[in-house]
Amino acid sequence: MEQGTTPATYLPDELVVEILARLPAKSLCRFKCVSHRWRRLISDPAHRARFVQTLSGFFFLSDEGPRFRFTALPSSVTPLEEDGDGPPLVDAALSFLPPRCGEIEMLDSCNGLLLLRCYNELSSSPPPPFYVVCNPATREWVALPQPRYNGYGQGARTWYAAVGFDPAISSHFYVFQVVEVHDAMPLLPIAAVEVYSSETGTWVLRECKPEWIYFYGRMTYFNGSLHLPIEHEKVVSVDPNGQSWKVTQVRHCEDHGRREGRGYVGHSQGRLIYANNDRKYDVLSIYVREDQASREWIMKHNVSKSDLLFEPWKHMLKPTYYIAGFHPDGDLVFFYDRTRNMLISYDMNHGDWHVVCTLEDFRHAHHPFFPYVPWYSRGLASPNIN
Amino acid sequence: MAAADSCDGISTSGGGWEKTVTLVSSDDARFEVREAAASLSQTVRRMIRAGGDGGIPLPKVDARTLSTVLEYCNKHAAVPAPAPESSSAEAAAVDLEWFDKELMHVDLATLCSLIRAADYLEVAGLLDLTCKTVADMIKSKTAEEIRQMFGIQNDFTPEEEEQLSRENAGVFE
Repeated sequence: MEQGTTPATYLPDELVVEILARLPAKSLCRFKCVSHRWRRLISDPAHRARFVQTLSGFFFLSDEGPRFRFTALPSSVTPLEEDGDGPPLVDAALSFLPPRCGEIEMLDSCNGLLLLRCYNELSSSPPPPFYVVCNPATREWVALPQPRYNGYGQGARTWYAAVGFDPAISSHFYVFQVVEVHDAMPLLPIAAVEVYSSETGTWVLRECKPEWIYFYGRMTYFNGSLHLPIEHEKVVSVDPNGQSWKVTQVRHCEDHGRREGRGYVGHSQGRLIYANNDRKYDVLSIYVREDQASREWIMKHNVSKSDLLFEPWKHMLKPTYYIAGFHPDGDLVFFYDRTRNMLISYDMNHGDWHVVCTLEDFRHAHHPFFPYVPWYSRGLASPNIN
Repeated sequence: MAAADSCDGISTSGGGWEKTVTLVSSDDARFEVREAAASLSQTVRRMIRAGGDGGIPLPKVDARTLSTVLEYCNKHAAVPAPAPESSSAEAAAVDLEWFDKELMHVDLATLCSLIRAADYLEVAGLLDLTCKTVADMIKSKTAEEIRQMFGIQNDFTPEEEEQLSRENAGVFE
């Protein structure tokens, strides 16, 4: 109970929790500062599954030991994780996966689920790699059956895949595998997207409707569709049924001969976000598509990467940045500064930045970071665990 | 039938015979209610089953709060069985929504009494409605505003406060 007299507005713990369970993540985060009691209620692992969650950290590809690691954000950015209190947020080593998963490659994250590709090299004649979807907060996992294209021959390349999960819409998840035509080297156009639905337990091939589009960047699942950045700063959005392939132009390139930078598609505060992620230029431009029906992308921010450098390096270093992700509930974009091995958060509204942490064992890849929002409810939907 | 024992009266409202029960608030006010409405409270429903006479005592709810709870129960128990897609069902749903909205036009102290009563009486729909209303009321407030609204003392030390605001800088102000 709070100190002093009991006011008419006093509610016992379980009823405060009833109210907190109906608040957005942003409010929960702010209300940790109300009192020790509210802070304790919001952080209590017993209530986690009832509260809306927000970004708690990033999985990132690592050079040392396991092939990926997890870095948690400070407690304020992670409203529901009490420092050193209660069980750990996430089994970052994914130690719950059986040995037969072999070597694991992390491919994507979406609302608490991770998509992995497993290479079982224990046997003498290695079978093709297989996909695993897991929830590190509940330690549940499911191995998917083989898609039609599994990366071995067949004239197709299947490097890129994404997981789509939106618990507000359905308890089921999708996995999207981009099938690129191999024999059109050096550029590989998208031929199809193979979609796995956990509801049916099967893969379905969805042929690409626009011809000769080239996947170029980092894709994301949002609002029931997969959004892929393609060449010339366009985004193609496809629903799991493969019925609608919608191409939108983020900005018009003046020079159509140039491919422009790899696009980074993410989402924040209910809006789709595109960032042109060209390492050659200092300015990173961030565009927003306000709603699903719209075709229009609106320029929101220009971030000068060298402004993120502080003295005395400001005029000495040419920074190399990776976009780590967008905060789902705030105007924050996270960068990894490879020159100084730092994860930096940048407030797009106020133009200021903070060093989140230092990551020494980071491994280069085009998209080495996976934003992680925990999902504490059990029941990873799956009709067939093979 | 055990339920008959706790029935204090029979009314003819709605054109048919309806059983009623009497509920007694903490300040001894007596409310005669249709059993169907009172049964939206799981607590009352159990007490009706358990039997007894002289009215059902509810020592944790005062008359003012109980009358609002019963207003909610009467309205919600009167809703006809859902005939999906029919225009009358749709109209009834809209009407109910309006009713709920009007009922929630009260101050925070009243809402908190209603939350405590809905919890004690186990009226699930009312608990959800009142908690949602409070959540909507507070979601955009600052921590200091929350303390004022709920009469909560700030028990953080100045050092802890500084640490919290530093951590929150640029994120969720």
